[in-house]
Amino acid sequence: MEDIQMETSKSLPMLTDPLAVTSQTESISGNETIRSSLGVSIANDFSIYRDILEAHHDRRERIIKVSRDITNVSKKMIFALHRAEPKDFLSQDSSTSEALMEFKEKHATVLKLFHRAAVDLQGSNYYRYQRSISGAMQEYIEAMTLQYYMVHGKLIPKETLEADLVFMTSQEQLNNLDSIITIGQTGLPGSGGSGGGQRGKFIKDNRKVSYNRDDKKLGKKIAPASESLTTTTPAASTNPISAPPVPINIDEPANRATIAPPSTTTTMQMDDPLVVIPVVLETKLIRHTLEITDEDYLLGIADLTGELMRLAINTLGQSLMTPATQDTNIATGASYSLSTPEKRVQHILSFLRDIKSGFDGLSLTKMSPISKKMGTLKQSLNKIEMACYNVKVRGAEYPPEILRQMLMSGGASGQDVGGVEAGNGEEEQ
Amino acid sequence: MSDVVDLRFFDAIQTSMEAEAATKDNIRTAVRELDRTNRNITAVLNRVHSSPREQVPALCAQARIHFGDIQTHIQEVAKIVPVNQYYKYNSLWSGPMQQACFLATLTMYLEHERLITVEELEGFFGVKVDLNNDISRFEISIEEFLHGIVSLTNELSRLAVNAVTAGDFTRPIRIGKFLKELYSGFQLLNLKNDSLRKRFDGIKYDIKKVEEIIYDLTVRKLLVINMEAVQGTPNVEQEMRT
Repeated sequence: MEDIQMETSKSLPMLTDPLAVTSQTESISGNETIRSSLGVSIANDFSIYRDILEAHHDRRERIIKVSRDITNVSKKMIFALHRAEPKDFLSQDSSTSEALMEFKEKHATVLKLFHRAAVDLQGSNYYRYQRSISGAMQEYIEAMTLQYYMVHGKLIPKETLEADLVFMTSQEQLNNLDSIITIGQTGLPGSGGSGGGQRGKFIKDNRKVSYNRDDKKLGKKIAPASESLTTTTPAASTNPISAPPVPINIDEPANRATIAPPSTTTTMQMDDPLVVIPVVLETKLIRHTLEITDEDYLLGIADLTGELMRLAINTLGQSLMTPATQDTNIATGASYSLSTPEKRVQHILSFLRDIKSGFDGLSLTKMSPISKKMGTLKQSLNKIEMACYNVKVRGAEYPPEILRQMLMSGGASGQDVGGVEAGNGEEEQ
Repeated sequence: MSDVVDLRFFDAIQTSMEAEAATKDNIRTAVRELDRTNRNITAVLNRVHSSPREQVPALCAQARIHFGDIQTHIQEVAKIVPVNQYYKYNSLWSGPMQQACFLATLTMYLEHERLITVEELEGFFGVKVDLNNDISRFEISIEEFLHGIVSLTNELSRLAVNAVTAGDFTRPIRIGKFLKELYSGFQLLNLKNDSLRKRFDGIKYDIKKVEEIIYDLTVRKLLVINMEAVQGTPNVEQEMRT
């Protein structure tokens, strides 16, 4: 992935502009073809309408499927993060942490899934199918904000998120979307549930790795060729209309020629098609971007608060588990993840309070989905505050050993502890 | 800790949300105008149910004058909608646009007794119909057009009743034939379980209604005298070719 992006970024400004023109001419020519076949009879016209509607329904179906996969993988990313030790987030340790390796691998998968979705979500289609993708987008934002917070102790800016969602698509990939990633593989039974246990990790992951690696190899194969060709073409952004307007949906090879950005290769194609075409088709890269709507970003952050709650309760449990060994773990580094568990909980609390005051500043209508999530946000904050309170109060009354037992009695997973704490909190209100 | 969350970012979002709300308000205002003109045309075309047949062309001409206004209103809306954000605001005008499509379709039917073509529809509104699933600027979506056609079947079944009342016994037969053609057209579509599907399911009741009228007329031998006129029913398909 990264290789492709890096190497083609030089040619980007040149690529994007003529591309806009070609896609327009292509769509107009397609439009005209359909238009000219209209008006024959009602049956004929309606069968054309059927094709138009069907294209729309198919595309939506594809997007919904990808969204489901993205949601699934993003959830696993979050669980992986919860499994990670605070010290894993240090850059020198991150490569040895199994949980973080899993996160990285899932992240690569999710980006490929987004790449696939991005192809279908260009232009006005973004808002047309926005409702189908926004759930997945929020889940992904939740995972990424959590990761960013664990590493940097800050809220990830929207621009940073969007920078990840820029994809270069080769013609080959465009013609066969499965070559980006096949969808429907990530839905494993029982994987969407709660808890961040270690179950099934090894078996599951081996399979994942292998099919990810295949894709990576494929991407690297294309990348070097693309550089060598695209750098030879800067002077050649010739008139795109010179390429014959070919109707879409009729004939695949011709279709490729019109979508591809114009360059000298178009003329070369005519001179010596046998030699050039295979190379050309592999190297044409089209830039697909996904933007993140403000609403999705906010909703993703609202979801993050639930995860922060879980993290805080976990950390609180840790602070009681390891009172003796604390000092050995702590270095004086600037990274947030190095401070004591107590400090980390305090940091999470203040982070959450900041987020809440940010949300409180927004004037929202009651209908807005954001205001619906505000309740959850308040609840999460309340749970942490009550948990801290309980530790403080009972911590004074009980020896830490017993208190730890109390906190942990709900089970090893953070969620259960959170539930217990929340129960206490509500009683005392 | 205040550097943890950049509160200015929330301000920026607040601003952009306000801007979006303003855009929506502008569109709503423009769409309200469109809706008003729609109602004017509806009022004119409603008179076909009570007017003698000779007056129908005059009514259509009167309706056509208002379509000029509709063009202006659509241009107003189109100006506000940002490029590529058609579907973001689509729900604000989709209802009135469906109604406008219906009115154009009805006018065309009353004038020529055939289905409007895409080109003619574009002529009515001065905007293109989206045939490619790639609207970047304001266009009429194919769904809106199809919704307009469903509304037409509804209206025509009513017209069939009123034509009989007014003594025009051949019109129900022509309408029945036309509706069946439309229905078989709609049957070609693979509809999902959406609003269009629900409305399409209603077409058969319109057809049933017209068939009952034809039955009533036949049983009472009211059609025999006019059989010649029936033979001369304009063939929709042929006329569309020319």
